[in-house]
Amino acid sequence: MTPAQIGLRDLVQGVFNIPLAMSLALRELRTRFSRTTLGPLWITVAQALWIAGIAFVFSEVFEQDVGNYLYFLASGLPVWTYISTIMTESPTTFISNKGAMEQFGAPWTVQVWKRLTVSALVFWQHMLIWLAALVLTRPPLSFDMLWAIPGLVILLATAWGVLLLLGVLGARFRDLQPALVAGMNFMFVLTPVFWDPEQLARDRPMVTHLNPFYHFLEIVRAPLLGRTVAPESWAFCIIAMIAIIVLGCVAFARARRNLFNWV
Amino acid sequence: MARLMLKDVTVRLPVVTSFSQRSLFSAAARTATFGRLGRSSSGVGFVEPLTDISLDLRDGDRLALIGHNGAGKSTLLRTMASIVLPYSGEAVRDGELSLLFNLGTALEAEQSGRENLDFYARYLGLTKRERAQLIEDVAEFSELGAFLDMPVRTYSSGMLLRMLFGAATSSPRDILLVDEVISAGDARFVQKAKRRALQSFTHRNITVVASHAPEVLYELCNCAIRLERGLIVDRGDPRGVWERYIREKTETEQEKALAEAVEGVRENEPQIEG
Repeated sequence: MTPAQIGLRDLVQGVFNIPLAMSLALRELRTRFSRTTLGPLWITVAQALWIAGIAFVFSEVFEQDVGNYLYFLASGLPVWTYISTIMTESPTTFISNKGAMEQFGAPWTVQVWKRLTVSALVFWQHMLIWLAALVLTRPPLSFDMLWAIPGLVILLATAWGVLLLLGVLGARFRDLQPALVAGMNFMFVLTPVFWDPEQLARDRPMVTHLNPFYHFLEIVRAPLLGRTVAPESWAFCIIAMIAIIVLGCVAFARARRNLFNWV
Repeated sequence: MARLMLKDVTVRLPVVTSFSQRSLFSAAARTATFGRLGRSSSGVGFVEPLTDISLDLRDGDRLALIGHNGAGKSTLLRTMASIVLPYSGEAVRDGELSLLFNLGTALEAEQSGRENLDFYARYLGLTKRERAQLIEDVAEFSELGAFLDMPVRTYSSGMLLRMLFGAATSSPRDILLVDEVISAGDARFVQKAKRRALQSFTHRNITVVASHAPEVLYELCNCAIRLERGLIVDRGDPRGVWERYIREKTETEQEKALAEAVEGVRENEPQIEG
């Protein structure tokens, strides 16, 4: 078998090993918080404090109603945290699992599924705050909010592709991870996460239309805020999802020969 | 019917270093006996830890890998496991793998031996009942007793070896590959390991063991190869290959010592005059 074939077989076998990846993800979260009293609840507490802090200060700065602003934050910040975590952690997908890659003879893409599951579980913990904000501030409910579900599916599928693509590239190019950490802090301020693009006096395409993270934020957040997702955002995200997944699979298959040597 | 065949396998590993590190690395690589150092057309350096390796292992073969550090033993095992893929040549494998390459890097130090074994078994894709069976079996073989419920960070390397060797031989796999780690076992362990290897895989297995401990190789293996700078330089029964290896090693060391002594005398001459 050629290296590329071995890589493709690994990708297929990875799908059959999703249950394994899920139990590995649960174990990782459990060990991360082993011997703590709150356990994984710390994830929720940390995010809740962050949201409360920003809500407290910036509702004054932006002269907004605290309740509305809190709900806006609780809908957007968890999505941003998810995007940011995927971007900054994906370069270590393979690097940090070298032991498992050589010990068990299991497909290596199990590590991608494991990371995806961990990130999804953490995201769920963060969305508990959104749920709390929903109950507290009681924004008008509508069935259009359910559009957030396809948005979330697209977000997760893209995250899988990013983990694979950047996991391979990050193993080869060690500058990638620190560069992404620096870049995502910059993008946090640039992307309308804790401020509303509707507040802008004039249109700034750099922070919205031309910002890929804005579109991925919008397909989940806009429905939760009772807004309609722009068709342009749906189109961009679906195309980006397909492109990233394909690129990830190609990169993994091509790099299979040297991947273990890089990690 | 298990089979492990390598045909003219050459492994090249690209060496990725930043520019400033490169000169330092090549200096280090020249002194280390890590195969040949070269530079491919793309400008990235590479090492060639294995050159033209041909092997054909069938049911019942228990191969010992002999050679000093950097001779290519570990790379050969990883090539057999498709972790490292050949640059040229062909590696064909028929049979499921059980690997024991390191003690502990894939273990969760905070969790107990029992929990870690459960995940080991999950990696093998075993059902809940089979997992429980594997843990029972390992508990009996490893004689860890109450330690099995303690975090594995409290284990000695001998205990880790007993647990992981037990797990690797308990799984119903056809091909067992074991790296250097086996030297952490004491004489009693080696006896038990031999009995177990003979028992659990009498008809359907291939075992490959790399070790610096002759008693391990004599007990566990029935054939041997010796690697030197990525080439197979000797084949035969484990005892013969090992004894020739030791004899040559002492000869080169004696020659070296003699050369150094002569060198030392020459350097000292002026001092004697002064």
